[in-house]
Amino acid sequence: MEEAIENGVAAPRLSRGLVAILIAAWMLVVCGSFVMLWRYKSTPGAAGAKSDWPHASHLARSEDRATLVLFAHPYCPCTRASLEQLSRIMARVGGRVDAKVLFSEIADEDPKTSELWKKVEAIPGLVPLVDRDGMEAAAFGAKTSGHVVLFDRSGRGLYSGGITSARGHEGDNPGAQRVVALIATGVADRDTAPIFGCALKDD
Amino acid sequence: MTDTDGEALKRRAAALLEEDRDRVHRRTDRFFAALLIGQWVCAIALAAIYSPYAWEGKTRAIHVHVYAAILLGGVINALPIFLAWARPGAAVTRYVIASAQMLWSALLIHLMGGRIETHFHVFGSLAFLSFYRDWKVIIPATVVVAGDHFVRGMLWPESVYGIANPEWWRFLEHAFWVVFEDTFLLLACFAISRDMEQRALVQAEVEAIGQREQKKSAALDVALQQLRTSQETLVRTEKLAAVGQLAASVGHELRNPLFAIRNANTFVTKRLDGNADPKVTQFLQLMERELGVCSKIIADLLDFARERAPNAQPCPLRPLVDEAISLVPASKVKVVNAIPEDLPVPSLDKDQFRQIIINLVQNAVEAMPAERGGEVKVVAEGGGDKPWRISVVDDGPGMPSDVIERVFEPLFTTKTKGTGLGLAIVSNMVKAHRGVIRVDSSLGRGSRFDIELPAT
Repeated sequence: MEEAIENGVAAPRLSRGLVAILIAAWMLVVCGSFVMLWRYKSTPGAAGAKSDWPHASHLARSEDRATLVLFAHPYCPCTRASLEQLSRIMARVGGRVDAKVLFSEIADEDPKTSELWKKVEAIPGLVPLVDRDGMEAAAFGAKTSGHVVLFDRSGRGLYSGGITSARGHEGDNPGAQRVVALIATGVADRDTAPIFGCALKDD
Repeated sequence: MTDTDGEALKRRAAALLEEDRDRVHRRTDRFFAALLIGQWVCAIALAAIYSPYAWEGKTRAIHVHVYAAILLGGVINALPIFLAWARPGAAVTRYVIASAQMLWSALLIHLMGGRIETHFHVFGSLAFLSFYRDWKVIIPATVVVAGDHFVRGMLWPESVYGIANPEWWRFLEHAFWVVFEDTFLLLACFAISRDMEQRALVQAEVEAIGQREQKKSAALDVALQQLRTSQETLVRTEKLAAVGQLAASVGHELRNPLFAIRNANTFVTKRLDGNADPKVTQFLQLMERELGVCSKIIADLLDFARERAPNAQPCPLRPLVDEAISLVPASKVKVVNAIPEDLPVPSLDKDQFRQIIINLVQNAVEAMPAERGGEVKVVAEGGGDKPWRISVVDDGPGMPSDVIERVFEPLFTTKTKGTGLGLAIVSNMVKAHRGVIRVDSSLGRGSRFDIELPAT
């Protein structure tokens, strides 16, 4: 590798072979890094099984339409995408569902001051609530931020899962499509989808 | 314009086009190096603001997006920025830059959580890449986008299409919209490329016209200089002719009185015959010597003014040179007649050529420093079909270039006692023989006068 002067600074003179090796190594490292990123983003969090409305819950369930509950960690950046998806769901079928977002408490932080709380307040038809001591999450079996549970007017469980395609990734996805289908028609190909988000509680 | 001119014009236009393209490529390489660094900084800031921490209950850790922005962004930038510095303007540099720019689209889409607005980075980047004015750059960029969609479509279709089981050709649909933009960018690249070619051709033509005008101007300058020189020569010749006529007239008029004075002086000297006061004898000798100088000046003036046509006859050179040498006043300088005995006999005017040899030899002898001797040699060659060459060579002090230029000018002399006509007479007589005379001299190495006469 000889040196040549370029713009007043000694620049190395590269052979074609060396450039080819550099490009191959670069592509390998870049592709490997993207694969690692994809794997992280597509690794779902813990999910609870679908069940009917739990008796231990103190939440009010709608008697005349479906009830949707989304569990959220107030500072989880991935949940921003879940709320964005929920906003789209509400835009399509908002009149047919009673939707609530339950924010878990994090130490001394008040969830009401978080950006996500304000985002929920800005979405028509959504009600933000605080899940004191994580009691509701425990009652509904929710362990991951972004977990959505859907019930019909009788309290029968229709759906339990996520509504994003990856961690913090917006866009149309099977989970959101199923929720819309279940609210609109009561029928969907499946009643769950992977949940992508932060853990609601420490292990 | 000849075919050769046309080819030269095309070659120059091609060179100018290449220079222009190289300049554009290097400039765009620098632009993209800055853009890549800017995107990196923005991505880190974006990740730090948009998704600083990942949470697990109450425990937080730096989010993977922050690491991805720093590390993956750094890796994406490393090679293109290095090549932009190490191989600016090279094709491989812009292809790597194009690929890196599209990889940045993929990374930014990840960091921004797949927001649809971030996908416009792809189309903006393609437009930026057209700054290279090289349609080939669009190809690796498109391949990276299509490849990203194809691979993710196979492995993680939701991240691209939003559905779990898309049709196999869905990546083609995405690629189509990229190709749709590519089409216009390629057309723009071709159009700009044609403009650049046209501009290079016009520039080459302007340069060629400039060069032609410059040549014409130079030729005109030369012609003007020649005209000026001719005018000066003409004026000088006219002046010299007038002076020559006057000198000839004066010389002619002075010759008889001088002759009478010399006779009288000789008569007086003989009559006194050593009986006079020594001072009188000394003055009489001085008069005789100075009268001789006057006679020589008059003879030179008359020789120069007359310009008699040569009366060429067979004339052996060696005896002629011997005769001429015998007429040169004796001195410490050794004069050698080196003309071969068997040299063929040339045809020339004996009187004029004797005068030529006398003048050249005397000039060489007088040029020798008084404190040392030296050698003057007369050589000759030629005969048959070969032209004649008669040379007078000395090992004297030589002449500087400014003297050499004027050495044959009438009235030019470097001696304190000289008319400046000796070599001018030689030059005139040689020209009258249809010959040329050249001088080669350098300071400290002597001089050489070569007379060349056409073969007889």
